[in-house]
Amino acid sequence: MRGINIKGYKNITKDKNLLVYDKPKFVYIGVSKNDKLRVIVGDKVYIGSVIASSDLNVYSSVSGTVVGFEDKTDISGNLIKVVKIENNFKEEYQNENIIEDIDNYTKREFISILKECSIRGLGGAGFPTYLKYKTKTRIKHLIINAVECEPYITADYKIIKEKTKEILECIDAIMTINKIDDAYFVVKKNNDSIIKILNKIIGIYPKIKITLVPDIYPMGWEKSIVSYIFHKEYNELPIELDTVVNNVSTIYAIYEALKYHKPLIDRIVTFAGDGLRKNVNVFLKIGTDVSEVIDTLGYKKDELVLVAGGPMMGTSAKEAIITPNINAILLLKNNKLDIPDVCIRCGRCSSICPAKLSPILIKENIDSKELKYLHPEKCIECGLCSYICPAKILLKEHVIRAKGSDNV
Amino acid sequence: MNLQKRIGPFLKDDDSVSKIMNRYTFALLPIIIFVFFKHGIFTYINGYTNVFGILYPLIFMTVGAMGSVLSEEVFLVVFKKLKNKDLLDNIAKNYSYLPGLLLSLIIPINTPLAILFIGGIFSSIIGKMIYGGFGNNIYNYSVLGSISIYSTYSDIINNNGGYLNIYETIKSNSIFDYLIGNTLGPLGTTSIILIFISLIYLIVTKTINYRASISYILTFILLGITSGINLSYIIVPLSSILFVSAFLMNPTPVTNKGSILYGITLGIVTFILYYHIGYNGILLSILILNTFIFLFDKIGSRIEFNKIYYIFYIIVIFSAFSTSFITNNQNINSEVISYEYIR
Repeated sequence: MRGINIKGYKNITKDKNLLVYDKPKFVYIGVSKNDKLRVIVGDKVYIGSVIASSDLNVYSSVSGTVVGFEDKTDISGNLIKVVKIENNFKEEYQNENIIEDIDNYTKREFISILKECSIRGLGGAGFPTYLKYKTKTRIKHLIINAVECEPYITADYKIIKEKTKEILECIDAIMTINKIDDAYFVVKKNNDSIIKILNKIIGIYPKIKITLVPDIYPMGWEKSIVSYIFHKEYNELPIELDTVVNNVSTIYAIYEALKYHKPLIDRIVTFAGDGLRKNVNVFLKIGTDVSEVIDTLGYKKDELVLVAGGPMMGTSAKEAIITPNINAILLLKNNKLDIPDVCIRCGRCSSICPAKLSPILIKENIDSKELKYLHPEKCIECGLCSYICPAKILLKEHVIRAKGSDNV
Repeated sequence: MNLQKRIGPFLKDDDSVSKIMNRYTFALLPIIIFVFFKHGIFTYINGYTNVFGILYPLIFMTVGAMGSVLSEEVFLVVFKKLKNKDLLDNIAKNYSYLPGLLLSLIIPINTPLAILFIGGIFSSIIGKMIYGGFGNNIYNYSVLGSISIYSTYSDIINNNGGYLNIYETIKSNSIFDYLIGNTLGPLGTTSIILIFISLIYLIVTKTINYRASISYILTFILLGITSGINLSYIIVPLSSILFVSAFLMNPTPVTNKGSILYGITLGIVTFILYYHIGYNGILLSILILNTFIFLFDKIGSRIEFNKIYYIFYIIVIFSAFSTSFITNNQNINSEVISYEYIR
């Protein structure tokens, strides 16, 4: 397994109490181009009201009034349309008081509940979860990803600590519903605190095994975990090996969907970095403006960089709103920019790339026909090439640019 | 909030080019000190030179380094590539001293200083600057410099004494002499132990491409053993082989599997050329293989996605076997590998 041990910075948020910030003044719910809007300005909405819909519904995370539509840049720099909703702080639900038995579903009902509640992967990619389960082949293995290999982020750790019982119960239910043989709860080898928490109650579920993986980045990548456990590699999706991989936060979202029919409207986000006065995990509504939270936490006066996501894969932005796939917001002091040196052909980028690419060759061949043999499209944007490069060349940027090139 | 936009990742490894080059230069220090003792102090103790002679090896290396430094400065000024006015800063940033310094370590001690100086200029200008300077060189600059002065001035160097260090002509060499480097040969490439320590240091600190270096050494030694030649024929070039793998391997392919393939191929080519034309064969094989680095990178990057490219490994290993077999049936001329004169 290719990767590297990176300093974790996890202790700064790990043991701090969860901050609940569930009363934003406004929320900004992102709507994609294909979504059909279901509200107009002035409409009254409840928590869980459908705002827009296409394949998956888009839900309001607060109760209040639609006050307008705005354009905002999302974390990848694209302009997206958002619905601005003013919170009336009444916490009114669209459909209240549903409590169901979570393993009392058929597979078909299970999938439709996931789809209805717009459950997405909370680990980073935001892939619709129901698609993972909607397959003709029988799922044999379920992998619960709690590796959280990026530095600073402890959001998954927090949810395991707070909701251990619910998560394990839900894994058991998913296994019963989908007739899955075994589940692997994957955590880092040196993450003693998670192992301790799990050990207390995992004995009740003999089919769920704790699997320990080495503390290297990017161990949390689906492909790394699957190949570490099964010693096999898949091409496109883990289902090729009869496996489904879910992030542990996603499991909790599934729990809430099964139990209360609650759509995905909130999540835990790690707020950390040397630019913030208080480093803490925050429970947030989807659509909360990040600057509102940062104002509450306090920030330093230096020149700062706002990063949506972890320090390796995250992107820097001037503003950000919380979407389901953001697991961390970092506010870092702006260190002096490293001026890239000349490549000295040390080959570290090629030897570390988990996707077995040669980033420097991709950079050099970006305009040539050779590019298609270098397979830049296999890049997972983990950022290790830029991290390791002694010449501080921004290799990740070049590879991402090559991905979009015509020569691929 | 005073927010700036930046390109990620937002954590970077501590290592940098300047740290790498400093470690590289640091690894050269024991060898430089060794040269000072061997060619300066010991020669004086044995009564073959005067006080000036003690400093001669240091002067020798300085002249080589100065050839590079001065020519690079002139080049930068003439082509207006001088980025800042501080000349000393430029030397540090371009590591200008390296081509000439390395050159002085791989040529005979009796090379006239003027020729060494020309070699330093040649290494820097032809080997490095015309390709765009530090990091852009296609060929190893010092090897290019040494091959060019050998091919042009070999008569002058020979007549001047070649590799002979006066007090060494009268003694016979034991294995121990080879280990500590008390033997004939280019300035820096005689001490097996010292170079081995430097090599280990460079590999452990990830300063050099260890894949190419290790596969190169192993190939050479394995070929020597399997071809059944006299073991002393392997020990004589061993220090030079180690020196090449530690200090002269750059540039190498960047891909992992390309580097290993490169190391093996270089080992084979070196093996063949060394036992035909002697020490210069080692240097020549580097230049030959440098030309094809891009091919090794092509193979190395494709092999990860297409197993058919492993055929190149099979070809190279097959040619290693045949090399070993052919060498087995030949008598090696022991004159070729001694440093008595330069070919």
